[in-house]
Amino acid sequence: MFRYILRRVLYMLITLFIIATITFFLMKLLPGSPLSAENKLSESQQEVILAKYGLDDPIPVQYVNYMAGLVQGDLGISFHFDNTPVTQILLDRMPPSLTLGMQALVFGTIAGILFGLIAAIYHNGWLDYTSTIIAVLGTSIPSFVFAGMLQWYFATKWELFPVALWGTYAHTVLPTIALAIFPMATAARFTRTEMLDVLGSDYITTARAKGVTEPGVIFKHGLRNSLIPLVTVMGPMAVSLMTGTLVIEKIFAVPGIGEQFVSSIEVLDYPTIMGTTLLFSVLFIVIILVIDILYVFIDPRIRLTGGGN
Amino acid sequence: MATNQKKHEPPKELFVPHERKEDTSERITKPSRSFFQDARRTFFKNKSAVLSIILMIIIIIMSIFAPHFNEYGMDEQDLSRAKMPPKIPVIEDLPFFGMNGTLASEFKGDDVEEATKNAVMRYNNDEDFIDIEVLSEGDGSADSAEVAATYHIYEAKEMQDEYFWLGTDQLGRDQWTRIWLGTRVSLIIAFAAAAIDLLIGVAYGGISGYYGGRVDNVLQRILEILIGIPNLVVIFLLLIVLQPGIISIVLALTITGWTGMARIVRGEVLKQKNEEYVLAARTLGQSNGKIIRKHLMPNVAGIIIINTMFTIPNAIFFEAFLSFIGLGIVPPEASLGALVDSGFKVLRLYPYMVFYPAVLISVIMIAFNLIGDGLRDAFDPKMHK
Repeated sequence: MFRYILRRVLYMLITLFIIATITFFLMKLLPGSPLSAENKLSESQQEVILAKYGLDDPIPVQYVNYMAGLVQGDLGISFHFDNTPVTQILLDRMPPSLTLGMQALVFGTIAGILFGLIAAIYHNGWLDYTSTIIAVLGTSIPSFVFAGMLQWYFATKWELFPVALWGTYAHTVLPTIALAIFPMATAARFTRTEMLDVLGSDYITTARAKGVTEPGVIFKHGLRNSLIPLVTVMGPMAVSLMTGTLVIEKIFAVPGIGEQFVSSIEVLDYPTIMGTTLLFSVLFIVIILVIDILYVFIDPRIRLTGGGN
Repeated sequence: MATNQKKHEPPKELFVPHERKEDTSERITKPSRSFFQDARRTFFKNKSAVLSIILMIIIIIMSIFAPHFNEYGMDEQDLSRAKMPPKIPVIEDLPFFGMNGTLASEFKGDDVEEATKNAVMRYNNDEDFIDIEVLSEGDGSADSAEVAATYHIYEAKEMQDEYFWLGTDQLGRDQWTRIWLGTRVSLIIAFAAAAIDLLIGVAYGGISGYYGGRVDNVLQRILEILIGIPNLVVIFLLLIVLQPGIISIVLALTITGWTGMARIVRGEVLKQKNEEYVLAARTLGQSNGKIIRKHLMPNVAGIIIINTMFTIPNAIFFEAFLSFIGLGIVPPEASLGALVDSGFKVLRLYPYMVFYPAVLISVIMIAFNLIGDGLRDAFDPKMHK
């Protein structure tokens, strides 16, 4: 087990190194310099500024410097947002994104499991059809369309929640719901299928024959066993949360990582784009690793020995 | 005793010789169907999937022909007719649809007069063309009075004879034309991405699974590295570096997109190639290529079709998502995502600009997902009846 984790972490570091290298050289390939818009500066002034940021060094030197900085958590300095270090920008913008992501994940998964459970218990009843329809809509309708609907009805029309921005808890409600839709629908679909499978198995019949109460059968025997495979869809869920934060933070003007990324693209602030991309990579890879390890802990039937089977 | 016993026995004349019939227990009563025929039957019994197919055919036909239904071009800008609301002949007389070419909203003020003033100010001070309906008189406190205002913008601009079926955008471009052209772009991207994923994924997975051994080992290591790189990151980087456009989006979507297909095909081929029919084919001297094409592919086809059907909505979503955050299709080109994005900037004032592209993209996504679900059931032997 320990060796497996060690190996995976090593792989992870190699992947990150490759991503950082590719990102660096792609950014260097791009035309223009951070000063190309500033016509007012004389040639010598520009040279001074480029030297200050180390942009006049040969590319290999810049690369080594960048990598050395990266190891120490230094992602460079933003070209656009008041010369703030990118690390600082990202740290400042972390809390809103984390709040939204966590709330959406917890709320979405719990609501989804409930929907799936109800659908499975009332199999082929109208509750089943309703929750299936909700699940299909939830996985199909793009998150930005859904977010727009929420904003239009709950904020603009009925004025129940703030339209946008960040501050009080009420500000988090609409973005969280918009973000939670996909995890909810996925969890609902999955729980329903698994639950139907489990409820048809022999040990459930045994439990009923023993005289276990119906809630006992469903929660203790049924639900617990059908939730194990749910871990496998956590990966896609996490990815959807990441793409989701980009659009939803933009729509609700939440000062988070996603909103930062979208506005950096608009002004082509390369250090910030690079930093955010790397952050996304780290998050993504770590989440997948955690899910893989979690899966082994939950389901003892999966054994991790040697390379992929 | 003996006579008594005889009495209870049935008389001999009741016994008739048994007529020998042909054994029918193994007769085939139903027509024998191949797996694909069964799959087709199951699929066409699925109402929502069939409905989705019909809907998608209509949408595809519309995306080809609908932009030519009116005389407005895709990039005909005219600020004098910017932000016109939808207006359709005949339907304009039915109040229910809200396509009568008016802008309507509710306005608040301390009293009716102030609310009315707010409404008139909002609508270009064209008092003559604004209908005011008082909703609440108010008691003098802040924002207590409310009026509903309807602005007849077509009359105000003396364009009674013009019909913008779905309105115009901020630059006066016809939304009907742009929405269908945008649908065309979105669908082209989705189909192209799905086709490329299919080609590369099936070839890679098929070769890896069929040849096995060292080939498989090398190909799988490469695949592992590719899967380790988050595709979102690859897509972002490529789109920042490449010129925006259909081709770069397709490239960005497919450059890592095929790995999923390759994995699935490999797994399935590994399973199928040890079946006896493959051994039989090989014994009869079939070449490797022929075995793959004639024997393995039809048996792996189900899973490939299902996977492709889910690639399409995924690509549509990603294209819309990228256009929405400013990395996809750039104006004057349009895609559904780009249209929703530009509409969002004026959502509060002109909701129709978001509404129609948003509905269309949602319908397309739902339809493809339902078709995918239908196919998955159709290729599942347990669902055949």
